[in-house]
Amino acid sequence: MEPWALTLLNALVWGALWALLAVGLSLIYGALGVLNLAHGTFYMLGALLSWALTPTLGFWGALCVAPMIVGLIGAGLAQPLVIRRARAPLSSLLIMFGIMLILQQLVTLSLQMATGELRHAVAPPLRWPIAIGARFYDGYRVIVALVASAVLLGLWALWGWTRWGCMLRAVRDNHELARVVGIPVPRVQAGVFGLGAALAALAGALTGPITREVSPTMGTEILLVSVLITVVGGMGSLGGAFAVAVLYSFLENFLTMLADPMLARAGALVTIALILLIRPQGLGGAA
Amino acid sequence: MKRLTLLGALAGVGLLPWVWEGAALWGINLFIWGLMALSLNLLYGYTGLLSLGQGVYFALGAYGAAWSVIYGHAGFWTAVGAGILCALGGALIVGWVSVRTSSFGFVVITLVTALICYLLALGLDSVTGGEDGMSFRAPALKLPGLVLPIQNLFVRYYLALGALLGGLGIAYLISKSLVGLALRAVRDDEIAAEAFGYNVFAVKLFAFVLAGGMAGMAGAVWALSKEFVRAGLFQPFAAFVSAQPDPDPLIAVLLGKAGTLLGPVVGTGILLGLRELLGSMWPPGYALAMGIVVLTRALFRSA
Repeated sequence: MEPWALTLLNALVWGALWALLAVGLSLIYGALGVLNLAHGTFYMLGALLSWALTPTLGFWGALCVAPMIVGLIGAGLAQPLVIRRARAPLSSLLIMFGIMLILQQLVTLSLQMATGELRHAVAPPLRWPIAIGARFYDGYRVIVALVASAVLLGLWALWGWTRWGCMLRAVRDNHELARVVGIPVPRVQAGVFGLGAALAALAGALTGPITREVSPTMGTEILLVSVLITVVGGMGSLGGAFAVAVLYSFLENFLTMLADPMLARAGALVTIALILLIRPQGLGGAA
Repeated sequence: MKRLTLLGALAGVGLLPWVWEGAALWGINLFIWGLMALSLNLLYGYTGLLSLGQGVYFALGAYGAAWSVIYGHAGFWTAVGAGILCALGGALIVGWVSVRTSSFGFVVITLVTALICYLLALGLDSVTGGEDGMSFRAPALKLPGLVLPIQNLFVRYYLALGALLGGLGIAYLISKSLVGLALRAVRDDEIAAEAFGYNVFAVKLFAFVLAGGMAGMAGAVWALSKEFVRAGLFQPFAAFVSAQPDPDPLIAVLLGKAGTLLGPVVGTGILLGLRELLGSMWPPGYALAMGIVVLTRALFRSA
């Protein structure tokens, strides 16, 4: 009974984190038509910034400030580089790839110069063991799941019921028509790019104390998994991204009970990729 | 005149290790990674399919060759054949899923394939040797009337050169044939190509499998000359995280000119030179330079 309960909790926690990442990617794709290959870099930046700011602001303060900084960086990058060139898919992809490589290297360089080390241990922000039968579950993870779910809910409300969300949906559906009715399309796009980057950074900042370590390479694998989730969910479909994120997390965590963690992750990735054989446009994608 | 220049260049490259032995090692790297870049050029330059996971087929070729030697005691040519077959099989499976998706879907699947294979290679370390890798003794290269030990630097040099020339020959024949025309038609306008009666799925799958086989040939030759394979060959973005990075085929194609015959090989040469130059002075500069290459190429891309 206990291992099942613990696995279920883990699946929920990671499901919420993957959903944050995948929904951010899908938002960006919807508004700008680019696949954000720098998403893993924003995730890593969020984790590193929140680690660096924790001594001055405290963990919860850093958790709020780090995503904002990364969001501003994202919005700043989007304006000149991505938006104007988003027409040709391959060009935009290469641009994102270049941004990813350069950002990654700049972060590595500055971390090396500032601290002389690339890997840093993260102290747990609170100790709150929750007893489940004879075992204990880290209460911080429960808080992570709650924070991530609250943000996702807020996003859903913003998307569905506010003027801003209405603009976002209009830009996603048709750039030209949105411009015609007076929506400042480039500004909305930059905002969405920043919002997506901030969501990735929030996921990174929340994950730091779970993985107990931050380093400049921590985003690479995260990027690959979250882009797959987004594609399988259907590019631009927030509901699809959310559903596949949760599905992936359940598959991975429950497969880990049966097999080596690496094989479990590979199995979960293959399983969700096979969905593309039935629906090449993804679960929530338009036919 | 053009033919004379070509012959001269070929003779120069062929005689190089006899004149200057130090260039032989450099040449082997150039030929093997040049062949790798050539394979990506078939996909990206000719067919317009951007793959970020071409290293998978290189690694499959390397492992196919290594396994056939370790478990099957295969001879040299059998090992090369096994490597290419492994890569072709892998490319057929992945291509079957990936080429039917949109342009972004294709990129993502090729990338994630690398991650999946890397995780599998790490998880099944009893078969793959894991991160430490495994070494083996490569069988001698047998030609009619000749037995050449692969441990000899000259043999390795001419083997790699032969593989590259073979790849160049295939790429040349394809670019001049109707098949090459079909590839370019799909690259330039998929819908128009379909309207002209091309089976776009089949054309893309053909390009993907052919490129996979070529990368597998490069991998098999690499493994047999190094007598070593490791799981890290599968690692996604390996060229950007390792300390002594191998030339990344995509950057080589972008540096040379995509869709030309020799561009990717020239790009590989530039990358190798850059690594040599910056590796000793300022290693992070190499990775930074690669990012700048990609960004500038993408911003000033004409197509």
